[in-house]
Amino acid sequence: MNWGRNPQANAQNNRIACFQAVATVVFALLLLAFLEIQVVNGDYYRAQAEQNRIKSLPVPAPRGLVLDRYGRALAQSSVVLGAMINPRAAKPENLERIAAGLGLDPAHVLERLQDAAEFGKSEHIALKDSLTGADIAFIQAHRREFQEIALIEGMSRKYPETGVAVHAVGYVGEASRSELNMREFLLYGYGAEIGKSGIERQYNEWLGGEDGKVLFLVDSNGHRLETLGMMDSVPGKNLQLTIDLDLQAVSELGIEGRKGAVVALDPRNGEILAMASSPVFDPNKFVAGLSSREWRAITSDRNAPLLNRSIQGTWAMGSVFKPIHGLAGLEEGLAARDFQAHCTGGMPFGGSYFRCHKPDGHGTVGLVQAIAISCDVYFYRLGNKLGIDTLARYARLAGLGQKTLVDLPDEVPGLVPSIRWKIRHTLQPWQPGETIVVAIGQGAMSVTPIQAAHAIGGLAMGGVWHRPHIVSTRQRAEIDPQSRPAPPRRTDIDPQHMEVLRQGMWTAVNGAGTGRQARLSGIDVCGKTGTSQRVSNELRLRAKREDFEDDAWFVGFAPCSSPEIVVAVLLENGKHSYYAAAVARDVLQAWLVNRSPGMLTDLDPTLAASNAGPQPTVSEE
Amino acid sequence: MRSASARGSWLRDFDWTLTGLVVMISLTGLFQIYSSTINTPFHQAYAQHAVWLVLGLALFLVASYVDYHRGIAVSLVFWAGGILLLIAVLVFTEPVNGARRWLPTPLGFSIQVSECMKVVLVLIVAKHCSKYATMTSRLRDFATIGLLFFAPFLLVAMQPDLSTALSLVPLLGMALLLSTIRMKHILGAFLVVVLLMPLGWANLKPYQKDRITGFMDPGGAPRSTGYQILQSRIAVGSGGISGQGFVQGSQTQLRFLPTPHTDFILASFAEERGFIGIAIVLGLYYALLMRIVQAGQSAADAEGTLIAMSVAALLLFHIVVNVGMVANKVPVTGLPLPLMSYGGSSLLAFMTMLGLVNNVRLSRFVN
Amino acid sequence: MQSLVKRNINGIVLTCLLFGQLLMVGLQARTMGKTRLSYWTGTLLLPLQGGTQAISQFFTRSLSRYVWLVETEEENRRLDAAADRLQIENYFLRQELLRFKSRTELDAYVASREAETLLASVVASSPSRSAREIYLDRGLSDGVAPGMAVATANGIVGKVAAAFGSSSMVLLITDSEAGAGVVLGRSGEPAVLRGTGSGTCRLDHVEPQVRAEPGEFVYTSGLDGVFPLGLPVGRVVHAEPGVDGQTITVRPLAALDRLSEVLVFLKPKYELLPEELRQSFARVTRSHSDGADAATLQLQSLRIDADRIKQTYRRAVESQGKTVGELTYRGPPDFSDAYDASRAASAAQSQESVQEH
Repeated sequence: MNWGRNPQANAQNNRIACFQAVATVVFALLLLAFLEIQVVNGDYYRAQAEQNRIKSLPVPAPRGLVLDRYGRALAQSSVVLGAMINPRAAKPENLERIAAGLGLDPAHVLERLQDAAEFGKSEHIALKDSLTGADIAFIQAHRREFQEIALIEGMSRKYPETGVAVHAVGYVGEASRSELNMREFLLYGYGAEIGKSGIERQYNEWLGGEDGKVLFLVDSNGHRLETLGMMDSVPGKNLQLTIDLDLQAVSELGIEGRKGAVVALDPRNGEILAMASSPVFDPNKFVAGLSSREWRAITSDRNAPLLNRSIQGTWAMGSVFKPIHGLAGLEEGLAARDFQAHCTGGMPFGGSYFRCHKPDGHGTVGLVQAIAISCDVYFYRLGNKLGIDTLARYARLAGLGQKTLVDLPDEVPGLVPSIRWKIRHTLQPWQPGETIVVAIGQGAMSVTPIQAAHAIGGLAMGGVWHRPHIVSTRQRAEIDPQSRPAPPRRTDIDPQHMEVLRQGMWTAVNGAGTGRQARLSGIDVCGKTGTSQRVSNELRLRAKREDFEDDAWFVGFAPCSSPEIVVAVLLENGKHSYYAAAVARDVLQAWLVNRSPGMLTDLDPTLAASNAGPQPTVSEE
Repeated sequence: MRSASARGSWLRDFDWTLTGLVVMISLTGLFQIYSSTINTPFHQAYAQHAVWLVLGLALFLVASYVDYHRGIAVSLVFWAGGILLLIAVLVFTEPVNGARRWLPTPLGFSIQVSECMKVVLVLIVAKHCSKYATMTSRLRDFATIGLLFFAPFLLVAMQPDLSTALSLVPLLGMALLLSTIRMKHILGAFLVVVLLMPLGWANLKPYQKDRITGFMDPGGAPRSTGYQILQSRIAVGSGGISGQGFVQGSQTQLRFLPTPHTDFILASFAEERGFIGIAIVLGLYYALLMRIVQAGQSAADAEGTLIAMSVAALLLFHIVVNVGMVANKVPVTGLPLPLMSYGGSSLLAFMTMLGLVNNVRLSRFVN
Repeated sequence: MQSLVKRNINGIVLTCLLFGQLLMVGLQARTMGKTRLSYWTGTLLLPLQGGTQAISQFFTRSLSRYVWLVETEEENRRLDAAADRLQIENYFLRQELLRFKSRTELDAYVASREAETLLASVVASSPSRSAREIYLDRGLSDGVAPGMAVATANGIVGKVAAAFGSSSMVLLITDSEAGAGVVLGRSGEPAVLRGTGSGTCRLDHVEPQVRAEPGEFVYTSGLDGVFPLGLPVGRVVHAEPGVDGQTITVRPLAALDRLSEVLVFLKPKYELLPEELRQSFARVTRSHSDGADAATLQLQSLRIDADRIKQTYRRAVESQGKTVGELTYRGPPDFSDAYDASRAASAAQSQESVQEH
């Protein structure tokens, strides 16, 4: 301190003291700053750090396969790389560029984010499935800007591209707002994939697994470091159908390019072997998500491609009703062998003239011939004798006018009119003329193709109607062990009556009947055609409009004596029933190839013998 | 100048407090380097740093025992050598990421000449300002100091390494504070700076403006400076009172915190050791600073005072800038935290300077 | 006390100035108000920097002009950079790497975009040295915007991550958050390049059957919305076989650690490829089986049993000159071959899926 003696050194010491004071204040301030951040706001920053490092991503569960009866796939799930977006981290200013880069509609993305917020969804929601190479390149090149986007190996549903069984299988898609509010989908959250139609919807819970979730530590680059927790996804279970893809393929090829439906059933147990509807749509588009414009286009399409015509559309049954009508006549004792009608091409009744489809008449016909050649006059007379309520009773017995309760959603019941129905719905009394119309399957009576197959199939079985189903009984027992197969609806039909009806339908195909197109070598096919008018003949001829053309029906089964398959073909505006019969023939042919070879020459000797007589009569006409 | 008996008393007078503080802070730094790099590609850094630490302690001892007056005597030679090296850095090295900072040595490692220049400037300030401590200063003396100081300042700023260049300013400040330079000269210099401001503004390259605003505007660049500030604040805050534990800080270990072993080592430390750890480390630094000031006050001559006080000023500036940055009170710059941050040049420079301070204390009774 | 203050007025004022300045700047940084911030920056820091800058520029200029004549060297560098630019433009004119079906279409597209580039100097790195970022001396006022590609004649460098008034920050392609759509030079197979955070990159999303060889060049595919088509990227240095295909390491061709001049590709010249080109590109790069029977390819591309079976039946019926459901007295089509084929197809398929699992 020797130079502290002079005054300047004293000044220096004071300056040093100032420095000390300043340093002390600075240290105190720094300590205060740490106190504020660490002690006062520590919890806040700790939460921030948690948010930094722990991320969660969904682990999508694969949906079960949909298989045909031989285990061939109708719908499958495949691993795709998808982009998901985190609604909480999404920056509005990025949306435009993200949407442009991935080829999405920015308004749609924004809407989805808002919906997600509304439904309280804080986890990632799907942005785009099945990314293309360009999408992946775009996302990877913009990872720094678009932190909200995650690439996820997701599962995507793949359906046949050529429209195989699309109506029966249905499709999956993201649950809509209204669906989320449905009781059926109560357990699903926003963005969940649900079955929207067909068996995808009917067996949604069986097919759909449960998505898992993975919590993991990330570093500052978003790289996964360590998995903290894993909730494994539960994969969906496979579903085996009774569909036979060989028959299905031929059925679809048969109605391709037309409007119509094919239903093939095994009448012995109700298994649906084929269910086709045309036109078809591409369900894969629904999986990817349709824009509202595409959706409007497809729903307002006049050809109604989304409609499953086999169970959701009804048409006048036309002459296909006649075997059931015949059954009523036989069972009520009014169509005994001696009941015949003389057809001169029409019949006057109640002030009107009811025409037969053959203008110059069929001559005198019995029931067998009436079915074979589809004589309207015979059934006008028989129907008039039976009355509408008796006809309706037998129609209901055959399963018409009510849902078949097939295991598919949105089936329609069709309609079997009765006196009560008429009064209740139109407040008008029943006119006797209407009975005449219903008697040939026209008028208010309408059926779905599956009802037609079911009704004729059960009749062919001698009065045993099995409930149609598309999922095998074994599979259904697995899905619900409590469930028992529904017992068939039975009625005791006099075997002799049965023989008459069968003979009529055999002759229709194998004799000179209306269903000759369905004739096959090697097997006896029985069947009944139907051509039902949509408008009066006069209007149809005058207007020449495609949608006024007659609908064509054919329902056939084989082999005649012990039916193993029944095929119903409907061609909307098909003009004539032989077109439908030709389709059924090819479906039956495809089925025949599959049938074990020992049974190929299963010609029914009794039928052949008993038809030796009537056959010439028919061919004479 | 020295007798054998005096030499014996040196061992007794050796400043164990100062040495203890230095060793404690350095070891804290070493442990934190280990913790914050263990999960990174730099996980060998602590071993490298340990080697430097041993070297640094050796330099500390050398600087403690070699008379500082000898250093002051040859300081001009050092100064000239340093200037040449700084020019060599500018001329002969390729820019790494836009700046020339490192001079490669034949031994395989590179040195940051600007850090060594700090030591030299401490001696220079001691040499030249001590003359004026006892007499009335003149403008010419002021200019001499200015030249000796501004030449390295400019060369460092040209690298460009503005933050290191600015860290030299406290040396000049301390020299002015302790000299008897008249108030009017200081005010005059200040006026000149103010008048030069528009000129400087015009001469500033546009990207430099952006760089500074970029450093200081956290919202501007998502993952650069603003991101660093935010992540540093989260790291410090999530440490709480007692910290998350050694090698447990998620911000550090998961690399959210940028440069957790160099510039942001204190943020990493704050996360893992909490407020308690921070209070202890700041206490150590404060004690160290006060010990240095005490050495300056008790120095045997003006040179000694100036050496100790210059080191104190440098240390305080580094602490304010670095700790203030971590505490989110000053903008982000690239200044390391003395004794704790990973990096050989800075560590060796500060060890040498602290050795000089020890030397000053040892020599207080010798005159 | 009063005398103490009086005597030390110099020191107190100076100290207060120094630390007051620091505290104010700190305060401003916290409040983040942009106007006030730039005001304080301007008044406090920039003049100081500008002054040093002016003096240092004087020094460097004098040195270079009179002592080392570096100016000519500088001139050479500028010329080199201009040559680089021409070289890059050349890449667009001769596309050797892609065997496009729509070659003419693509050429027309490439030629329609004249390579509009901007020369920029690398001025700094980010304060944290481990981050793979560099700063350029061009910014918003020069038309540089975030998302633009940056390259040298040797290869791509990165993309602009942030643009300021007259400087910009570039994220290097080796940063672990960087990526680019690329194609392998030899096979034309698409892939995605990702930085690893070290000096190399790796290829992701490569089809498992693709084989890359060390030494093979990698080019940009133009699909990522950042890099224009056909720029050189790097060379495969390592290709290690693995379960899900190779692990391919690529070393960038541009010397990313010693960059001085780079080219910035100005938008909107290089937006995404037009949709139809993107698709044809993806198609062509994916399958090179030009000679194969189209029908067989189509059948193979059908991925679901149901599709294959239907296709089998359709072809069987067509080969007989019939259609299903046609009115004919020749009898129905013969389905036996189709039936056998459909069984065979699905059997093969189920075997395949067994192998996959």
